[in-house]
Amino acid sequence: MDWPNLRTRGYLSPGEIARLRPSPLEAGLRGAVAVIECVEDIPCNPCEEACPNGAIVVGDDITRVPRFYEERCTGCGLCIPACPGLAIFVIDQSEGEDAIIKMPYEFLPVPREGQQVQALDRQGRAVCRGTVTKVVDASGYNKTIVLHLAVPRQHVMDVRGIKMTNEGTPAGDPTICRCMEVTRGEILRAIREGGARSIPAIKRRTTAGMGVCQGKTCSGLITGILCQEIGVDPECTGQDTARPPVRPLALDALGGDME
Amino acid sequence: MRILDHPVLGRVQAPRQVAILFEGTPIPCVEGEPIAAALAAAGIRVLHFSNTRHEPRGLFCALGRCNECRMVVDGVFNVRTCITPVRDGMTVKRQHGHGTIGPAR
Repeated sequence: MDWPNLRTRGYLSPGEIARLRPSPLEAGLRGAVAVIECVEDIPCNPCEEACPNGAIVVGDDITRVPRFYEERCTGCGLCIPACPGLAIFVIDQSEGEDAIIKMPYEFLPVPREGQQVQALDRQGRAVCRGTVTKVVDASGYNKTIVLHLAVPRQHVMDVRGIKMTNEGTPAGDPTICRCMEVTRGEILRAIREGGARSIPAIKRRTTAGMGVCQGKTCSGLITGILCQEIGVDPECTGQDTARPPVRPLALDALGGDME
Repeated sequence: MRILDHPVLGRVQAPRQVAILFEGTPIPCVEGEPIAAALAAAGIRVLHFSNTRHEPRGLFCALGRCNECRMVVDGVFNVRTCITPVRDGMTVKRQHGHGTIGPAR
């Protein structure tokens, strides 16, 4: 099996998802059931250990991908925090208008129960709004939190993450370039209003990356903001020219003295 | 807080105590540790103030890349204290902004 999208971009494409067996596309109609989006033959089997019902089998050759026996799965979700790759979800489409997706979450801050969030797909793109219905932070989960997220049923196989919005608050405009004190909002304005389409273009409009560390701290963050904003891959954003000196240097080190 | 018994590096053998002067106050240090580590152990978290918004800044990357920990050390501006070892009797001051050309007064 080849998974080109996962290998090159880091997430499964819809075509790759459709090849998972048993197909998750029909899953969860009769009640909560696990969806195991694990396709890589890596030596790993905590999911097998976590399942109390033997629904997940890896076997003695632990480099095999897990085999999943849907009829044995109770949807308990113990496998969700056990998976180091955060590749297991539990979906439930048996009740009400919305589907429930139980997903692992390892960021701070932790959302509140009842909080409205933006639901994201595997690629991190916004899909729809979702509501956090439950936050499970159990001691046995080893600091991985399991969120229960309610989303419209048609998105149950697309939504695999969340984003909390804090726009308009100080936390919503964090400092990105710490040396030159350029905030995320200023970088977004350079793209949206200033028409910047590359890292050097953002640099010329905002001075981000021109400080004492020469972009070592912020260039990755700025690349991420630009890619998300205009929908390109990181290799299309252009590179800043690296210029010496790469660290603070006394002038006399460059010749001459301090007189 | 200092790690005195490291799972890989083992136990610290009889560390030699030295002292630096931070804003005129003596700070006890372990010989060879970075300046920023000694200040962190003494509970000092603000190392410099940013140039434009004058925001307090402290240890950020701790490996010499980000320059957030730069201070005035023995009259020299822009010394990255996270990767500069302490020396007995060193004077260390909080830096405001970028500093100036020539030695600090």
